[in-house]
Order: sequence, then C-alpha cells, then structure tokens
Amino acid sequence: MASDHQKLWQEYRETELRAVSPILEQLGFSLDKEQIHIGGERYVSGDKKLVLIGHRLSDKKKVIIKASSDPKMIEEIRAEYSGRQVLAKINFAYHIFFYPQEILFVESGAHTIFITEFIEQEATFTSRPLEEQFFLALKSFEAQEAVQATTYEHASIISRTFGIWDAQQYLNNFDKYSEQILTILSGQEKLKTLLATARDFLGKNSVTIDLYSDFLTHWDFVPHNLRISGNDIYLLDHSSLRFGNKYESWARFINFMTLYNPDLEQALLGYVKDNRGQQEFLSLRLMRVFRLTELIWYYANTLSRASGNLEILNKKRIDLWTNVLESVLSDKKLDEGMMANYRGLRDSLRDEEEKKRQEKLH
Amino acid sequence: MKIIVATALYPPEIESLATYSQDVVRYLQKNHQVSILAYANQVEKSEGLNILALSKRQPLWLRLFNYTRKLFSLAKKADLIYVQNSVAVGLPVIIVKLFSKTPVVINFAEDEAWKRASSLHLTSKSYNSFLRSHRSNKRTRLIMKLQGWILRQASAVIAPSETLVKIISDVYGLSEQRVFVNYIAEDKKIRLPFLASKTKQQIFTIGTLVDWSGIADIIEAFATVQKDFPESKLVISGDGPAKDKFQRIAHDLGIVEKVKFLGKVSQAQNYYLRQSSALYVYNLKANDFSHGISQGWLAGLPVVAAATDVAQEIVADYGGALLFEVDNKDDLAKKIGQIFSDNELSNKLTAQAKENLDKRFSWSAHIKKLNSIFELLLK
Repeated sequence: MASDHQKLWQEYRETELRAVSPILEQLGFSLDKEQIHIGGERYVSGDKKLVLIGHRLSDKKKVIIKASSDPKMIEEIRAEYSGRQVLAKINFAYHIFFYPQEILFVESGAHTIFITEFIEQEATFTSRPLEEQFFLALKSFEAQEAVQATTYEHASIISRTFGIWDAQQYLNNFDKYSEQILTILSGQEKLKTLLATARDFLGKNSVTIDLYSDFLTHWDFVPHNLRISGNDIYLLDHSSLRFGNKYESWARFINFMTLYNPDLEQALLGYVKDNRGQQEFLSLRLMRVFRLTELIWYYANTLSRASGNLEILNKKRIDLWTNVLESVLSDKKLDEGMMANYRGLRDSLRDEEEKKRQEKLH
Repeated sequence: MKIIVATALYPPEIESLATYSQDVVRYLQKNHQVSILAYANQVEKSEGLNILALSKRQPLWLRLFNYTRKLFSLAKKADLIYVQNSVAVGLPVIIVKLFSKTPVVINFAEDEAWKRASSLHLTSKSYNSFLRSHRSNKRTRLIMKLQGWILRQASAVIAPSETLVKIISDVYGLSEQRVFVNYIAEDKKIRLPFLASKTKQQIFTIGTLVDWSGIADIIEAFATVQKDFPESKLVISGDGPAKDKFQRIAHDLGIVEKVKFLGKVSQAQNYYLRQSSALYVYNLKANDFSHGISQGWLAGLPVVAAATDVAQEIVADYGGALLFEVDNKDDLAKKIGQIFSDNELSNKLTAQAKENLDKRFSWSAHIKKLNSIFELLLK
C-alpha cells in the first residue's frame, strides 16, 4: 500500500534519528530541532539516508550531516567522500568550483556519517535577478567543462572514481527507463510513441553524444544542490559527479528551469544556440531528452510509494514532463499556460510540511 | 599549397589552441588544401575537411610514435607543416622534418613550460620572471629544453608580438630572421540574451590575482579617482592568491564599498562587464601572451593601459588606448579622469580601437600575414 511507504519512512527516520543522535553527540555535534530535509515528499524517493542540519558543540558551527546504515546509501556517502578526495588530488582539479569544508567522515558501527560545513547564503538561487542566475549558471557549467578525462593518465583515475559514460551507456539507460515506464504506465499510447521517437533521436545522434562526452558533469545539477556565498558557488552533492556528455548538467538544470524560471531556460538555450553552434545545441537537446525520460521514469516509480494528494501530483508531474519531452523533441517552446496550470495544481496538492521544505530549497 | 595543421588540441576541447586550430583551418581552406592531425579522442568534423585524430588514451610513448608515423605519411604529399606549439606535437614534427625536409612553421601562441608550471602551481611568477629564474621542477626544465630544441629546428617561428619575438629569440636562442610577428585574430564576440547597458563611471579590470598582476596599483589609483569622481566604482574579475591582500588594500584606503571583487566569472560575464563598463584598465606589466587590450577593444570600450613594450607596440600605428607610465599610479588616475571627463576622447579611442582591430587583429590580417610567411618559405 502506498501509505505504508510514508509510514515506513517515518518509522525508519525516527529509528535512525534515535540511533544516530547519541553517536553524533559523542562526536561533538548536536542536531537542530527543525529538520527540513527529511520531511514532506522526501519519503517517496525510497533512499534510506538522512540529511540533517546540526551544530558543532565546540564552536556552534552550523553543519550538514549525511548519515545512513543502509548498504546502498553507505556506498553513496563513501563515493561522495572519495570523489571529493580525488578531485582535490588530481592535476586538473584546480579548475573546480568550491565545496563545503569537510569536517568529519566516520564509520561508527552500522552507520556511515559524513559531516561538512553548512554554507550560508544571502539569497536562494531562484530568488536572485535573472542576469545573476544566468551568469552563475554559466560560471558553473564552464567550471565543469574545464575538466576533461581525455588523457591516458587521467582516464584510469577518473573511471574508477566517477565512472565515464559514453553514448552507449546513455542509450542503455534510456532503454531501461523506457521499458520500466511502459510497464508501469501501460496503455499510455502518447507516451509510448514519444519514447520511440526519443529513442530514435538519441540513437541516430549517438555520434554527437560521444563527441561532447569525457567532460566532468553533474547529473543532478539543480539549485538545491548548490549554495552561493558571495561570488562563490559551492557544490553540495559530490555523489552525482561523473564524466559524460558536457550538456548533461546543462540539461538537468534547464529542464528544472522550464518549471521554475522559464526566462532563464530560454536565456540559456539562446546562449548555446547563438554562441556554440548547431552541433552543441543538438547535444544539449539530446541530453534534455535523456534527462526528461529519466525524470518521467523517476515519477513513474514513485507511484507505488506515493499516496493521497502526492500520488495525484506525481501523475500530473508525469503528464507535465511528457509534454516537455514532446516540446524538446519537436524543438518548440512549451505552452506557458500549461506550465502555469501545473504550478497552480501543484501548490494546491502539496501539504504544509512539503511547502515548508520547498521554501528555502531552490 | 598543401598544408598540414599539426596540433595537440582540437574542438570539442575548449582551450584556445583547440579553437584557434579549428578557426585557422576554416580560413586557410579557402586557398589551400588543408589536413589536420590532432591528438583527440573525438573531433568536431567539418564538411570538406580532412581531420585525422589520434587517440589520447594511449601511453605517451605510443602516442608520440603513432603521431610521428601518421605525420610522416601525410608529409610526403605536403608543402608545409603549420604547428601549434606543444612538445607532444613539435617533437614528431621535427623528426619528420629531418627526414622529409618539409618546411615547418611553429605558431608560438603559448609557452608550454610556463603554462604547465602555472597550471600545476609550480610557479606563480610572471612569464618574464619565470624565464629569468631557475626552474626547480625537472619536468618543466625538460619541456623548456625540448621546446628550445624544437624551435631551433623549425623553418620559422611565429609569435603574437614584436616584444615576444625578442624575448623568445633571446631565451631559446633563435636567429631573429626566422621569427615573425603575427597578431592574433580577435573575433570572439559573445551574443548575450540581454542588453548590456552602460554603467556610468564603472571601471573594469580582469586578471589573475597575483602580486605581479598590477591590480594593487589599480586599486590605489582608483582611490585617487574617487576623490574627483565619487560615483565611480571599480569591478575586478578574477581570482588568485593575492585576493585577500588586494581586499585589505581597498579596505585600508576606505574604498571597500566601491571596489567589487567578483572572483572567477564566466567568459560571457566578462564580455558583459566589458560592454557595460565605462572603461577598461589593463595594467599587466609582464610581456606575455595575454591579449587583454584587444579583448577590451572587441567589446567597444575605451582602454587605459600601462605603457609596457607590448602595449606601446600594439597602439603604435592606429592608437586605441590611453597609455600611462608604468608603475605611476598618479598617471593612471589622471588618465582615468581624462576619459571620464572627455567624451570626445572616449569616442576617439573606441574608433581607433575598431580600426586597429580591423587592420591588425582581424582574421583577414592574420591569414594574410600567415600566407606571406608560408610563401616566403616556399620560394
């Protein structure tokens, strides 16, 4: 039952908090009363990992604590930790942007805990003026593009730590997503046709995907994984780094902005089109198609875990991203009215806890 | 003419050597038969262009061997090899030249030893100081030795200014008659999704924040400018180890609110800032490969520059920048004040800059010079 997942998450959350709190206290950290990252819609992801806000007892320094006792999530935390170490060591890492200072990495009993400093920011990304958002985004993309896994020496270190994706890897994953979407959402003819068109589009242009691969890319490059302090951009999530098509992070970011800031979406699309040529623009569209399919797959998978209004909302999300996928495949702008309707519906279906979680997220 | 463009980098790589290789071929192709040999796992293909790419995912010795072998086969049918400077390309090229006698022209657009040492934080010195000092890193010394040997074996070497011609001739022991000047083609205008409106009395400068960047002097001169132009502000783009020191200087001078340190920003934002500022200050005293003055011209804003050898050389015939005496902060402040209070002067400088870009820093000028060098060698 869908509502069981919410209950199970709440139980897991409480159990983990009870287990982790004394360990943290022993390590010299306290947890804040309000924990926005473990409430609201968080339960549908199914990931058994807590992202907590706390303070170091010795100096009251605000910190972010990632903790888990689940083998899959422990691997993710370890990967993030080792990814940071490698980025700091390898020769070309001098190009990379900032990341929060590491405070503690510890494996205590069943739990793996990774603590970093909390980066204060004056304003969230999406609350900043359009021009500022545009230039901050470009700066982040250029920082990633400056790191390439092109040489023999680099390739071996990188593939071990981050993984390197080529066109075949993207196609294999697309096929996996597509198959699962059509199993979960059987009978949706429009989606079936669109996914076939998308597969054809990716397959026919696999050379272009490969051409712009081998670049450092962050596959979950969205405002809630960044923080801006002064003029510096801090990357919060290092577990989502890999070497792949350089437009993968652009694609994730632009797809996000289709919903949250369509003006920024259009500004970034125009910039690539006007300054980087048709081939690079095609690469961006290819990656948008891949990422949108993944997004639909993600929401399709949540349907068995979501309940009540969230289940309704996630069905609407699938419709929305299907329409966005259609618009990207036809290289046409999405009807703004459709997006506005969705936003209204979304806000009416979100519960108070989720609304609060969203407040300072982006 | 049948020309081979030999390069270590080619797009989709984004370094200037890669984009130059692609651009120069587009122009050379109009009158010549051009082939490209690059170290690349993937290359952006263009219609009618013969690009040969050799995988980078091989051990160094195998890469060099394969490059030499491929180049040797291409050189049999070529009149000339145009090399984008790097040891990984220069070494195979000179080996091929010894056997095939094909003339070799090296474009010394950057010094690999200095670039590599700077990137790996093995040096924080300016190019001039780096060349004069002892280089403790073995690999840097080896690259310099190899680079010097390669340059001396070339039929001709091209550098982006007369000043650099003198410097590299001296350092690498080149006889000057084989070293030519060819100014870079400055055409990378960026199209932005919004208009850059001018910010009155905004001074813009860009550079790596190191002691020799000249930025401390700009901040001090700006403090003087502030007295006559209280509305003025200084925007500094770039990052580096001397950032805290420069911020302290601004603080101690009581102008911290008027000086904005942006850190490293995107190319597009730098272009936007050039376009939206009232003037651009260039105070790099080192004579190196940077082309800040011509980049300022491209964005169409008046330039105030230190009267270094390079700056004097490039403004000599057509003008385009108001020069101030090197290390003279009062003179810099005076020149900034002149531009702020004299619109006619400001307009004259931008008009001169446009002419200088057309006559000396355009692709047509660059290719014309390149062709004349090629023809001279093949006479």
